[in-house]
Amino acid sequence: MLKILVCVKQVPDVDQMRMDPATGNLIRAGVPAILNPLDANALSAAVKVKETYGAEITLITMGPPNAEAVLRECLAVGADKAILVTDRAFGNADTLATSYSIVSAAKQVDKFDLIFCGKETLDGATGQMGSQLAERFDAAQVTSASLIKEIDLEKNSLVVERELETGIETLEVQMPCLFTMEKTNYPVRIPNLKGKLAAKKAPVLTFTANDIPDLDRNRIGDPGSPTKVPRMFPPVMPEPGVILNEGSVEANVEKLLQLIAE
Amino acid sequence: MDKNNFKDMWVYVEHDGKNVHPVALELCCEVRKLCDKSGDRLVAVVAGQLPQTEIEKLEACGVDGLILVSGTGYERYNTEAYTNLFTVLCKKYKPSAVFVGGTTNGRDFAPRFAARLETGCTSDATELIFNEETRDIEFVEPAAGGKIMAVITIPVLRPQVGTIRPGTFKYIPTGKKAEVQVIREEISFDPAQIRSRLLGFAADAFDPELDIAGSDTIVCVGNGLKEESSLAKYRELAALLGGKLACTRPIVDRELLPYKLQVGQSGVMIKPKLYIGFGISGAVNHVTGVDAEKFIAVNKDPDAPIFNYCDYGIVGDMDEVCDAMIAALKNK
Amino acid sequence: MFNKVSADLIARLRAIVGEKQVLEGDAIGADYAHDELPGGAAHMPEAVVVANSTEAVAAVLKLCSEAGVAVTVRGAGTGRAGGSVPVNGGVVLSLKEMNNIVAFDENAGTLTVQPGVLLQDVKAEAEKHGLYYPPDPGEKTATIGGNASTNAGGPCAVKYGSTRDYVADAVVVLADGSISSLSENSALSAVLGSEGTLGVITQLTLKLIEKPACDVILFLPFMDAESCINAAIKLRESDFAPAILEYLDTDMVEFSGNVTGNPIFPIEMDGERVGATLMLTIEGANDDELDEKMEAVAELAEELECLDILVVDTPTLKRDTWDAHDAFHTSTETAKSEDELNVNVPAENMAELVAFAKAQGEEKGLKVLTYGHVGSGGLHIHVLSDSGKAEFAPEMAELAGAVYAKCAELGGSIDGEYGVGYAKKAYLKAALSEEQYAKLTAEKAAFDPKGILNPGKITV
Repeated sequence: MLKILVCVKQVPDVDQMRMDPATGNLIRAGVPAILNPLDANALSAAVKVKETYGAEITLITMGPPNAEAVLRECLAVGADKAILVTDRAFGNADTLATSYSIVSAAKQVDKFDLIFCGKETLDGATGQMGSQLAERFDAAQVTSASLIKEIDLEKNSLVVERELETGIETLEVQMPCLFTMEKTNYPVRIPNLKGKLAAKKAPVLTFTANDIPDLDRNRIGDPGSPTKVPRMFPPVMPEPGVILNEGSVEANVEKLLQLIAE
Repeated sequence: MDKNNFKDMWVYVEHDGKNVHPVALELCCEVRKLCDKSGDRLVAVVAGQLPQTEIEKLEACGVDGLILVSGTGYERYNTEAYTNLFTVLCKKYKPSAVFVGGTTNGRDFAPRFAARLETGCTSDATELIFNEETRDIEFVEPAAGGKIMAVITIPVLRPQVGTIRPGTFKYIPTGKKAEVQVIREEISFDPAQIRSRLLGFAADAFDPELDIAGSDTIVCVGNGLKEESSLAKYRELAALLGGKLACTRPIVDRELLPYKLQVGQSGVMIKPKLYIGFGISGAVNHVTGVDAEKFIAVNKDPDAPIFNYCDYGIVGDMDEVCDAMIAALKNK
Repeated sequence: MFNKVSADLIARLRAIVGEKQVLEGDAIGADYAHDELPGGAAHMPEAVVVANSTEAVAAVLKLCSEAGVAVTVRGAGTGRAGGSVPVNGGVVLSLKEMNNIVAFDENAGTLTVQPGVLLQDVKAEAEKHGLYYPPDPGEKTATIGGNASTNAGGPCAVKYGSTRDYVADAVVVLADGSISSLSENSALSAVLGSEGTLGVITQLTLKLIEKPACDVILFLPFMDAESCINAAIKLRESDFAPAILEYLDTDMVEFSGNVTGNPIFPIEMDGERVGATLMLTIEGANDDELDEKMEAVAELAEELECLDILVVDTPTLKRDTWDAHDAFHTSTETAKSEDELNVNVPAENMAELVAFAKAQGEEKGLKVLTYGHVGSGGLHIHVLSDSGKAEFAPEMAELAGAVYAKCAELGGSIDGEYGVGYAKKAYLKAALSEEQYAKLTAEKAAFDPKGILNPGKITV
């Protein structure tokens, strides 16, 4: 049977984040934590494969203990198992350290034929994780994949579509393979009540740093992250432009068209 | 790792065998400025065959060197051969930085070879600064949906890898250097080890309406748009001005317009002569995507940040202003 | 029967509100001639007065009343029955600049606002204080004044009632320019929902309520509309007190989903086409209470003959669900020709009316898409066609006549969600009993003896 790993992330709903005008810091309090939207599409793709070819789907996420919520959300729509990688030692990780941590934990559990991720996350939006996970799994990769067309279980290969700037590629690719999914063909699935109630009771396998033998502590968390963020600052506002005030909309527009023509 | 042993800044030259991708030229021009500050040499890396006229375009951007790679595996883009190529080259030549155009393919392999080299990778910086004290590149990029700017550095490891979106920087060639060192490398990758095989490619039908990067005039609508049916008038205004309609991310999220019309850091970078933004608040990730000769903003909120970026602004209902503009243009 | 707006009147109006606040002739934007009524004709006003205080409204009405000039009050112009369209010309009195939030009373839990505040801003302000303003007809850029004038309810009316239930008191300017403060009495009740024909609301004090701690949306797919609506009736009578009970026809959700690309509601289950989906909201103090209620729904499920129970409980999916729901009435605008009928019908008879409307559509080759609030009986019937307007209009008129007559026969009324306006005036008389109609005309005569307020609507 196919073994599928779906990598998901709990992210703050950045659209609801506000900046404190006094300090220039982001106000994170009260901002809901949600399943990264494209991860839901990736999960839909995995469930579709499971329905068509038969598969066991394992979820994995790294985050604080309450990231368990997004795992249960995903368990409700057809995932079979869930892994939560959680430890303060994993905190402040960039993509390099995160990919090492996730792959180290996943390897404790199983070997996977197919790995699905969302194309990018709402918060970081680097889109790097898929490629770096694939490197560490030593898997083939198809980023910006939009459709799993068919799977040949004998040849251990798949035919998939990939979205480029100028068109759509059709590729034949060998397993094991990692996909970062576009939302195009895989709408988010809505759980039914039965799945929802079962997901509440399903066990979630938790890994702390100590639970992973031979984990290289220098490659996780802050020490394992080559990229640093020495500072953040509010966007610099240029001086305001000229606000037209000619008395009426029509007069403003007339003035504006003159200025455009100049 | 002693980072002083790493010299030269590289630009990966994406091409289709005939033309260099514009992002490579933009990157050469921008990284030239960094090299002038750091004292590094600017080197363009080309894999596969490229006509001499295109090589000359690269030279005109002021490169100090070219690495021209021949061998098998580069006939079409694939993750494995390109990841391998840069791993091998970086180990041999120890560049201080590698810049890759943030196309779908560039974003596919850059993080992977960075992981293989166990170094840091940044994406989508909108500004590059060379810090003379630390001798690190500061990648400045909007974070958290553009609400804040983050400075990202790779202080210990080399090379510093960064992908940069097409259109972020300007293509202003500074002229060919008197001496351009050309290194020819032959690095072959066994095609049998390439794990994906291209079965077909269906090019998107070219829709001129979607070609906003090449348009001189852009009428852009933002989340102030009340409803889908009003889009028609903005399209009409764009047509009257001889331009194209574009939008911000929320409009794409609301599925009112396709992603290809999204202007901004995570969409298309535009450089029109005239930009008119309607109902746009002015989030950084949008305005960083606009480099307009004349920037006009229309918003009902006089405190909207967009007015800080505009040359001229009108405070008012976007639909009313649009209607009045259409009426005035028709009267002419 | 009304006098024209004279140059002298314009000058005197300008003396009240200021030079720039009065528009005439070409300075009047085309939007003032229509609202969002599909296929509505344009009626240009002779003048637009943008008022910014109760006193100014009073002075304007006094002046127009004396001059015998018609006055049509307008908010954001998002109505869909022509209620704010100046069918008799005259003055449009725009309240869009009266958009201040006046006060929040923590002890009373009330919010006082001017009528031009948008519904979305009322909701946001309530949320800022940890409270909740329930009425929501879907169009969040409507003004609260417009909502009050049409007594808008929306899906959650089944549990929470409509705008009328949330107005504690209001400042109303009558036709003669007198200002009254109305407080939960029959006069206030009459003014609310009267679409600007009895008086002009210049301030509203709204009652806010505690927001339920937890809620979840359930989708119950059914084989057909009848079993869906019957299930809704049973659930309405159950102890779960669902806050929302929406019947969604699959033709409607499929059409809208194709337009928006947000296909969240089920179309097929196990390869079989779903006929209709019941969307309901359950609220509770905590997750355990929600679970209990959901399990109780599950127990009822077999009896209800629903095909499955889908659970929407994440912020993202909830938002997608409401976006998809709110898109129904705009998605239909993509058809070549379209119109809509918004009626109220007792829930027990809703399925019959739906079947009747669909049969009518089939007979005439028109696409009929429906969805409804089963709790309150509000039913939206969208009629679409690929043919041109000239061909569509007479068929639509025939269908509307037949459906409105059937609606009346089934004990329904035709004012629906967006009011009567001018669009449904003719049908209203047919649908009401003589007694009911006489009451409306008597009210109009008592409030506005000269008949200058929003003439051509509802009754006159």
